[in-house]
Amino acid sequence: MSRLTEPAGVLEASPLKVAAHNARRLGSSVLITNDAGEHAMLKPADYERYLGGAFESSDLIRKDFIRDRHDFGHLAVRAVPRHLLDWKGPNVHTVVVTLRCNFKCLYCHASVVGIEQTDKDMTVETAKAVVDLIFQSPSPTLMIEFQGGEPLLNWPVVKFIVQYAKEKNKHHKRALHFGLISNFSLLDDAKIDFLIAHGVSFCTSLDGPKDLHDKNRIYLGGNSHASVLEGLRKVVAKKAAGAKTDTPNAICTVTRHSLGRAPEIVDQLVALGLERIQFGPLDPIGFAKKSWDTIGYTSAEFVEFYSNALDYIIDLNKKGVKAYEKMTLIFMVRILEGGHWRFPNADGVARLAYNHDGAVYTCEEGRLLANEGDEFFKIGQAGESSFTDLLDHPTVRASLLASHGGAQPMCFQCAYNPFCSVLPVYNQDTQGSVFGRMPDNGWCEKMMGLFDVVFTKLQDPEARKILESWLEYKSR
Amino acid sequence: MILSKKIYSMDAVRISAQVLSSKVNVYLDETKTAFEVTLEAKRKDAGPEQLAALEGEFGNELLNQEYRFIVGRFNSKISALIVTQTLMAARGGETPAAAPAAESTPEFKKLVADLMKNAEAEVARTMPRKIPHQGTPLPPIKEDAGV
Repeated sequence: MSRLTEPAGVLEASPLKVAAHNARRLGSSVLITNDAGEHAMLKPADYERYLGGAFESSDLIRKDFIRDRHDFGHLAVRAVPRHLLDWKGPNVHTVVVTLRCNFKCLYCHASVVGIEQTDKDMTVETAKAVVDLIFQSPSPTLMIEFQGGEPLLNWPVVKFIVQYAKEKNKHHKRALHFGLISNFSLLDDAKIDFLIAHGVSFCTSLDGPKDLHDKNRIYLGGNSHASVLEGLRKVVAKKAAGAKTDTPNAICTVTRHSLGRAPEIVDQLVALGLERIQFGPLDPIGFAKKSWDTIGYTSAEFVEFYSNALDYIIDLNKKGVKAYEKMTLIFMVRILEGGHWRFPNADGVARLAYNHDGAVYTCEEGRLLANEGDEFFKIGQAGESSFTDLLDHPTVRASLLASHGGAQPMCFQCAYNPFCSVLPVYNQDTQGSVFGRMPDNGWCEKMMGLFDVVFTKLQDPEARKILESWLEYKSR
Repeated sequence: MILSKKIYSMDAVRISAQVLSSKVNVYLDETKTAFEVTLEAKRKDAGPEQLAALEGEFGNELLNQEYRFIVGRFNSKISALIVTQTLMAARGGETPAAAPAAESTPEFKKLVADLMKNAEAEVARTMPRKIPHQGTPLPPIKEDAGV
């Protein structure tokens, strides 16, 4: 399907009746969307009548597609959160406590160092400065995510950050959450007990069946796949025994080796009792660019994988199996409820990343780019910069402008604009500027393909009912 | 490349040159009606195919920049307003909240100092790390999860 916006069937729109909107032909329907994040599906003939000012319905009026029936209060209520006009600062804080790793994953190994290189660990002093900076964000919710390298290799600092943040929070009174993103190879009972006791959620990477996982994620000292399963089972067992913790999450990074194997991957995760399926597409940025020839794929290939996986998960739902796909859930919330829920990619404003040495980046991808020598997304230093220094950095403003679809060629005409996320790091690394060049931008191609899949599924009543039911997972 | 001044602005040419500066050197001359652009690949081993691709990429970027100016004429003011409001909201409004006074008390400072001391002692005690699974395979597990 063409990514370029098709001209409307009728070029002259009725100025009093037709409100500002974007349109995209999808199969036998025309999808229309507006800046409030509302959408409607029309038959092509009805769309032409709508453009001519001769078609309106209560649904179109309610969703502000009829210009002389605008409800500006409703428009404002929808548009304010969508543009983050009421967003209270970064809530997701990725803390890289070490660059050391005991794995040598195909898409990651260039960004980590060997386990003996302890000078790439975050010090306790730096960790304190990072936590102090995090708490300067006015966000009522703070999520501190531990990443690496393998974060458990610097366990004392993980523990310190949890303990110190909780002490600070007795006075700040935020909704404070922690997440550990780990390969689980070093996860023993003592660590699990500490993490559960302090409300830290668990997330790992599981790329699918053993042969696929082990091909992608090479464990320098053992069995990669087995160690992940062992860690997952330990946490699940603790939960089953009454421990107060969420079911652990497992993200599947999709490489070229994964294409065509969506059902097997889904089966693996479901068999472990995990309801959440989450696919992480690879992008040709940072270190992954170096191995792109062997593990990469086109945007169209990923979209096909995603479509097959979604079909399979929907079929499982029809058979009574509880499972949902995380990226689809994010899309569904944005499409059906509005606003920007989870990771709007407003780098620097919605999320921040902290390297082991205290350097602060607009996002984790920006930090990874710095490993390749491009420090464009570095916006400060814990212990030296204040939170307002970070927001005042020109890179943050440039990234926000680049993320705002209203100013982007092609985005401003795109029907998916209200629901999409832009990744300025991707644009910078692949096309030389944070603004990018959408007509030949791989991220844009992927996102449009994914939205084509989701909106096509939404036209099927049975699939729509299942996708709508996934909204119950939003609060988990 | 000969670029008509009726279509392309000097700004678009300069921005495009900047965007692709990691790949090409751009030499610029002009007549009354056109810009004369010479591209030189930074990769010395670039063959005819790569040179053609670079020329195409430069042309795409030129169109992108010209298009950006058009979009900007419609939307740049509202975009700038939205971004400014977002940044203002993200910093907590005009008067961001100060740190709680309780963090300045001697009790809190002592508590933090103790936490740091304990953590540093643990770092010292566990460095260099012993990696439990390093070099020894994990015990076999029942592979009942479709593997």
